[in-house]
Amino acid sequence: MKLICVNCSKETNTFICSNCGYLNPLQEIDFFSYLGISQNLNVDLNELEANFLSLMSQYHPDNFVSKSKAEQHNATVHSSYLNKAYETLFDATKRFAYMYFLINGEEITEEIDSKNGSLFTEFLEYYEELENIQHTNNLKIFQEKLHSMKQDVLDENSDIDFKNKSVAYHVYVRLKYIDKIIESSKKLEM
Amino acid sequence: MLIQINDVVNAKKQKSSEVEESVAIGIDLGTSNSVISYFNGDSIQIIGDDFDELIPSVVYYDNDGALVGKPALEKADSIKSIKRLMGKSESAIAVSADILKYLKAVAEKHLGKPVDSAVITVPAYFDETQRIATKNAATMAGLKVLRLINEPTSAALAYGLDSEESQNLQGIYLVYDLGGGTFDISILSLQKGIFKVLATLGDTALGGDDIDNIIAEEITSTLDIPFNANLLNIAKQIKEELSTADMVHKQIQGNTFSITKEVFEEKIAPLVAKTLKMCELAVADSKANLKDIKGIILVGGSTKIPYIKNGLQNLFNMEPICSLNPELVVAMGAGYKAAELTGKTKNSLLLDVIPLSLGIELAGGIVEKIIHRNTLIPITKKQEFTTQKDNQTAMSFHILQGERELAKDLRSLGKFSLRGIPPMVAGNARVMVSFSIDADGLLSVSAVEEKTGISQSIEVKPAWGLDFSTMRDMIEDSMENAAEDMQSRLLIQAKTEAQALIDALVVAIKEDGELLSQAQQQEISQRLSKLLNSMQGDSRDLIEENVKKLDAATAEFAANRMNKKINNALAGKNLEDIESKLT
Repeated sequence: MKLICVNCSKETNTFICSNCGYLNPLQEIDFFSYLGISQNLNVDLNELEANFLSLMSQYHPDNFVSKSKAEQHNATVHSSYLNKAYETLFDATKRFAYMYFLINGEEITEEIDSKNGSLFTEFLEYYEELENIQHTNNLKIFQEKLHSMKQDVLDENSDIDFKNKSVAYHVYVRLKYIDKIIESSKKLEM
Repeated sequence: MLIQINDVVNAKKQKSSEVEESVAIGIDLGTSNSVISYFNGDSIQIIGDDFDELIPSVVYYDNDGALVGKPALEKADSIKSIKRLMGKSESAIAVSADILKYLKAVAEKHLGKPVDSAVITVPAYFDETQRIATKNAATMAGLKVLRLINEPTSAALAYGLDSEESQNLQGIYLVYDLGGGTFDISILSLQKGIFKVLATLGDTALGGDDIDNIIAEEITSTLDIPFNANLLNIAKQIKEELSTADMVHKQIQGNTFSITKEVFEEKIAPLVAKTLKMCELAVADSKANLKDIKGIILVGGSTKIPYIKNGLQNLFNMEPICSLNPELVVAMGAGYKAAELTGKTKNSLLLDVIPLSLGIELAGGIVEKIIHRNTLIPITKKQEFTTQKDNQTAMSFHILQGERELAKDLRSLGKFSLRGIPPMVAGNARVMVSFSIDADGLLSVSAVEEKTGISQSIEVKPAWGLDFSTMRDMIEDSMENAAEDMQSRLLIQAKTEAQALIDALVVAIKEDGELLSQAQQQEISQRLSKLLNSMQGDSRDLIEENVKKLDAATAEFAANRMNKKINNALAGKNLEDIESKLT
C-alpha cells in the first residue's frame, strides 16, 4: 500500500505517516491486507490476535485525545474498521463469507435452504443430542465438539474454489448449520 | 481599538497558562460513595474531603443550595443512591452534577489548581441513556469528560499498572464488582499491558443496598415495627459488623435486635447465588472455562462480606485478589487513565465492549440486532432495509437496546424517520442504516437511501453549556422521539417568534399609534387575527407565512416610527454637533 499523507504530502506505506506520524483517513482496503495476514481460509489466530493488538495500540482514539478533530475522527474510523476486520476474520463462518465476497464481488446469501434434506437430517441428530443434555459440563463438551467440527469443515475445504458458487454455498450452509446449533446451545445456558 | 487588541492578547495568554496548569482527575461516581484520584507523576493519590476518602454520593437541598457528602448524609430527607435513577429521571442528572461540582471543588482545593477534565467511571452494564446522562451531568458540573470507562475495567487497570513489571500477570481475570446499587462482572484478558474485555454481564438494580434492605426487613418482622429510613443505616452497621463478629445486638426503639452470622448468610444466600450464577454465565460468554480464570478481582464495599468471598473461592477454587482497597480501586484506575490521556504517563490500552445489544424494531414488533453485546468498541455496523409498500416515501426507525426478542421488552433509545424516499415498488428502495459506537460507548445512528442519497441521523451527543431545562428537553427529545420532537420544537420556536413580533407591535402601537393610517390599521388587525388563529394550530408553515405577512404589513409603520425617532433626536441640536458625531 502506498498513499500520500494528507498532512505532509509525502509518500508513506502505512496509514500512520512514516514521515510526520499523522494518522491518515481510512482508504478502501480488504480486511486481510489491513490486518497484515495472507488471504487464506485457514488463519493463524495467534498471528491475527498479535497483529490486531499491535495495530489497535497505534489507532486507538485514546492516543489522539490531544490531536486535531480530523485526526481523532480518523482514529475512530480506523479502530472501528479494525474491530470489524478482526471480528470477521476471527470467526470461521464470517471469514468464509468474507472470502466469497472478496472473490465473487457479491454477498453470499444467508438463507439456509430448508429443502437441503440430507444436511437437515445430518444435523437433526445434533439437535436431539442437545435436547438430552442436562449438565453444564456436558454442554461445554458438546460446544467444543461443534467448534472443532467447524474447523474440520475448513480443513476439508482449504483449497476450495470460491468461484464455483454452488460448491462454496454448500460449504457455507454447513458452517451456518453448526453456528445455529451453537446458538441454540447458548440459549440453553441462560 | 488598540486597547481591544491588547485585551485579546492578554485573554489568550491567560487561557493558555490556565490550560497548562489545570489538571485531570479520576472520578468514581459511585451509587453510595464517590472517590477522587489523581496521579502525581509518581503514584496514584486519593483525594478526600474534610471527612473521608469515601465521599457519600448524597445531596441535600435547602434554600442556600446543595449540600454534598457527609453533612448531607446526616440530614433526614437527603437524596441517596442517585445513580440508580441515572437515565430514568431528569433530576438525577442535576443531582449528579451537584455531586460532581463538589468533587471538582474538593480536588481543586487539595491541588491548588483548577481541574477542568476527568475520566469518569460508569457501571459496565449501564445502557446508552445512563452513559449520556452521566456525561451530561459532568458537563453541567464544568468537567470535560476525557473518557467514560467501565468500573471493572478501571479496577483491572489499577491492578495491572500496579505491578507492570511482572510478566506472570498475563492471563484472564474476572472482576466481581458489587457496589452499592449495581452489580457488574467483566471477564478480561491482560497481555503485554493491553486489557481486552472478553465479556461483561451485570444488573444495574442489584447491589449492597439490597443487602441492607434484607436486614432492615428482618428487623421489622422480628421486632414487629414499621419500616423507616433510619433502619437502613442500622442495617448497614449490622452488615459491616457481621464481617468480623459472629453475632450482633442492636438497641432499636427500645427493643433488642439480635442476629447471628448464620442467619445473615442464610438471608443473603439467594442474592449471592444469583451473582455467582452470573459469574458462570459471563465466563461462558467469554468462551473461556472456569479453570482458565487466573484471578478474581474484588471491587465494591460489599465484597468485604466473608460469605461472598467464600462463595467465589469455592466456585473458582482460588482466593480472590483484594490487595488494593475494593472501595478505592475503581477510582485509582480512572486516575491513571486521566494521567495517560493527558500525556502525563505512557498509555496502556483498554479494549472494552458494548454491554447490551443494539437493534432496530421490525414489523410485528420483533427486533433486528445490529450490534451484538460483547462486541469490541469503537465499532460501526451497517444493515440494509427496504420499503414494504409500493410508493412508500417514508420509513421510521425505532432504536432499541437489550437482549430480549420483542421490542416492547427492550429499552427504547429513540425513533427517527427517513422522509423523501422517491416512490418505488415495494422492496426497491435501499436504505442503509449504520450504528456507530465511539470509544466512550456512545451511539449515533444514521440512515441513507442509497439511490437518492437522502439521509437522516440521530446523534446522542452531550449538550455542551446548556442550562438544565434546555438540556433536559434535548435529552428527552433525542431519547424518546427524536424526529417528531424536532418538529414540535421547531413549532414551539415558530410560535415564540410570532409572539415576540406581536408583543413588539403592541408596544409600538401604544407609543406611536397616531402614525398609522386607517387603511394600515385595518390591514394590520386583519393580519394579526390570522396569525393569532394559526398560532392555535400546529402548522409551523402557516405560522411562519402569517408572520411574514404581518411583518410586511407593518414595514411602513416601522419606517415611519424610525423617522419620527430620528427627527425627535435631531430636534434642537445644531448641525455642527451632528456632523461631528457622524465623522
